[in-house]
Amino acid sequence: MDDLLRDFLAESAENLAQLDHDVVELERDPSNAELLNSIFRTIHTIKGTCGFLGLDRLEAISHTTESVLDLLRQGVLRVSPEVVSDILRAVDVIKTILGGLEAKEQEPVGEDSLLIGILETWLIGEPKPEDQAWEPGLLEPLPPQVATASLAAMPAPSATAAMSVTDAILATPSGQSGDHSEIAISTPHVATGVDAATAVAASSLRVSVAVLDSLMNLAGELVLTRNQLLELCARQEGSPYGVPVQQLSRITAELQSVVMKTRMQAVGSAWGKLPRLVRDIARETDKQIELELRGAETELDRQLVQALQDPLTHMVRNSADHGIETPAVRRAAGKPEVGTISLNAYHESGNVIVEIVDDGAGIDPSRVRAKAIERGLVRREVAEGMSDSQVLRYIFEPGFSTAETVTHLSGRGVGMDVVRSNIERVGGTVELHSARGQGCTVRVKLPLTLAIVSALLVNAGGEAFAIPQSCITELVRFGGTERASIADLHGVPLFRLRNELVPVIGLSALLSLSTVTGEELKTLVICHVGSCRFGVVVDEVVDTQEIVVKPIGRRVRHLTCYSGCTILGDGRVIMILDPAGVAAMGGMQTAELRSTDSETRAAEVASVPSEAYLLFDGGSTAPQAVPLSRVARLEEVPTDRIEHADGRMVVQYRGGLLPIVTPPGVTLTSGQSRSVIVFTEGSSSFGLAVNEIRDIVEDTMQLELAPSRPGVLGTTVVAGAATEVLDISYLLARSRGEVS
Amino acid sequence: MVATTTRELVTFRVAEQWFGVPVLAVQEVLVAQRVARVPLAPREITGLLNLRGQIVTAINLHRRMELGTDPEGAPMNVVVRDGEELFALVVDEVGDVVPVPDQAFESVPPTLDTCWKGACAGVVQRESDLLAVLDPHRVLNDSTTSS
Repeated sequence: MDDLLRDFLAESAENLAQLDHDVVELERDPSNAELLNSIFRTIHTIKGTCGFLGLDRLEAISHTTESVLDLLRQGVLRVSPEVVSDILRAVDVIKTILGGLEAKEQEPVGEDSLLIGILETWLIGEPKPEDQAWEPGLLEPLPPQVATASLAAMPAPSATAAMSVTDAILATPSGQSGDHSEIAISTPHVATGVDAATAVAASSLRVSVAVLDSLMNLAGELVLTRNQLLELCARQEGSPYGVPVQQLSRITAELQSVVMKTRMQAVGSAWGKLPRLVRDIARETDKQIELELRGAETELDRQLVQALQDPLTHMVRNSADHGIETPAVRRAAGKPEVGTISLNAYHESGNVIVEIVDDGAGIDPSRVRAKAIERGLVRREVAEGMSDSQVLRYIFEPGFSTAETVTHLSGRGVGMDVVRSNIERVGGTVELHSARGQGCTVRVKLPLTLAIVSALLVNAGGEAFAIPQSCITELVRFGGTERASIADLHGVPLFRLRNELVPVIGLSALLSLSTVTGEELKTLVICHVGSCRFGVVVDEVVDTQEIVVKPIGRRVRHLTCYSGCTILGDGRVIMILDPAGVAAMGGMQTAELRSTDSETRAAEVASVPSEAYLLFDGGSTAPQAVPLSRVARLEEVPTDRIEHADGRMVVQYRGGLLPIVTPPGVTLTSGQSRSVIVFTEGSSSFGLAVNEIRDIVEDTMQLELAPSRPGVLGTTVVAGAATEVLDISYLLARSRGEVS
Repeated sequence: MVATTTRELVTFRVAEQWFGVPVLAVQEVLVAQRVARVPLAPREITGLLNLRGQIVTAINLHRRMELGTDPEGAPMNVVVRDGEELFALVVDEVGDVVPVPDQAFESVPPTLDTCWKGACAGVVQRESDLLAVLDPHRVLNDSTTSS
């Protein structure tokens, strides 16, 4: 490509990204002369350069646009939504032409006479012809006076054609003969491929991304070589190379951080298109939406900025189309008519956080619940016992949409799951919080860079692996005598981590490596991916290290359990595990497993007051629990003191008879002494005979499984074990002989 | 004597069979390297090795060409470049670079099994044996044994 043309394209792409933003801004602030001047200058520059390069089509459209802008600048024309819309259309055409130039090095064929004609109506000061001609639908022929005034030289478009402004760019066939009876609308919108930085300081230099990428690679190699040198020196006491190698090490680290900086891009460049998007949606849906952008200067690796772009556009579109209500609805709800969508980007402990907050209607949990049941993602009984925040997680299931109407803007149900997988692919996480009637917040967390990650080196099945630290929440040693902490549910190992059951994935088994069976101590690496928490069993934890992520070859790329490989200080190659892939391979895909989500749990703990429970072995297969507040006393009673009278079990107790019941389904077997839990309900008391009192725990007691037999309220997880919660009223009734 | 064009082939042995690949496809030949296994990879993938900071995918030709399972003794690596990626063909022994006149290339016999037919580009008759000429690109990609 011609150097001159390439420079022109790069510069224009940068300016145009800013232009959309500026034009929308101008609509809000029509009196901003500085903004108007900036827009005028951009178009003027394009016009000037393209005349020079012999780009006639581009020159014609930018010339007319410039003229309209000039009138606005002089104050002859007032800034109105209509004129802004026309200017934006012209900007779209300019982008299409530039896109074509970039792809084919020549102007795409097309005629813009109609658009130019419409722009020219602004120039001759005529009242604007029907704006609706531009809306999706039928395109009306121009009024005759316009045609005679300015369109004499062009073929009169006589027929009508259906068009969609958002999807297509208007272009008439380039032939000059008047017999064209149709207007062809086919040129797809070609996005300008160059990522534009926002304001560029005068002291900056344009460097190609390829150069930066190779610089990054070289810096990575240097880090590896440095690591090797450091290892060599560490082995030799008093090596004369010690000091210079230390020096080299320090410089390498500095170099690496500077090189990283060159790849940093402001997150604002990923949301350059959003003001325009929101404006268009607002106009189309008759809503009033304010878009607030904060922290646009927050920097992160350009690869991540790119990865963020589509999910961000999607989420903002969702907020604008589904989240924000119409002014009438908002007024009725006592909210300001103008809805707000705000984007905040900021750094937080080595991560970049991007929040998308809207003050719209929020997501209706009952609709999500109904939809989840309808789609068979969850059983009705389970769904009804779920908290709203648990239910909202289904939003991220593939193909899940609660939109009642599918508009062309959004609501097709290909959405949040794609957003989530895109974000997770680059090591980020997405969380969604919604409050009915108050709006919705989506929080995206991204690492600063992809190329160098801090990793935990582990051994499993005789092989070494690296696990990215960002996913690891804690390490737990187990085995030997503590093997009891692994529970088994239908052949699935679960680890009791404090109060929660965490699914366990044996790495050597998963990767078909030789498993060492023995009683030796192993380590459980607790990982957190998305809303999923799980433990990965490894034989040994070796070290933590900053590693350079290298892509793996295409023959092994299909293995989702690896995100790449790296070269260690001693030159060894090891695989980097992708915790998300490992989880998926371990069968961690069903929504049920996500109920171990600790953050949601934390939220629940905050909202549901916890209560103390008495945990005991009632003779049933599972541990059982009753609320401690209902328990009066605990007694030890030898079995032979339990007497049978009138078909009931009683024990002589404090000068009276205390009815004794057993947990549902359990019959009393003779043995040594029994623990009896004494309950007092009003004036009557009864005792529950159990094998052993276990513990007292604080828990919120969210019943996760519905009861299967009378006397049991439900099943929940207490202290990491499935536990039955008993129904005291039922037991009382039984002690009185009211139920058998 | 008629002037002919010749092609140079790097020859190597896998089990009892000698193979050739065009010398231009070969970047270098390495002695046995430390290879990192890739669990769950297709069975002919020996693993990954580090060639001066570049990651090379090693392919076990014994398995790829269905000639028994593993090389005997210390294997050699014939490093070939395919597009942007480097691969190492793990073989038993590397022989000479031999010039082969164009007309000596004979087409792959149609009766050959699918695995070999997919990987071979031709056959060259030598005094004592047949040299199977491999198409590196096809050896690296089209595999019946990959999972």
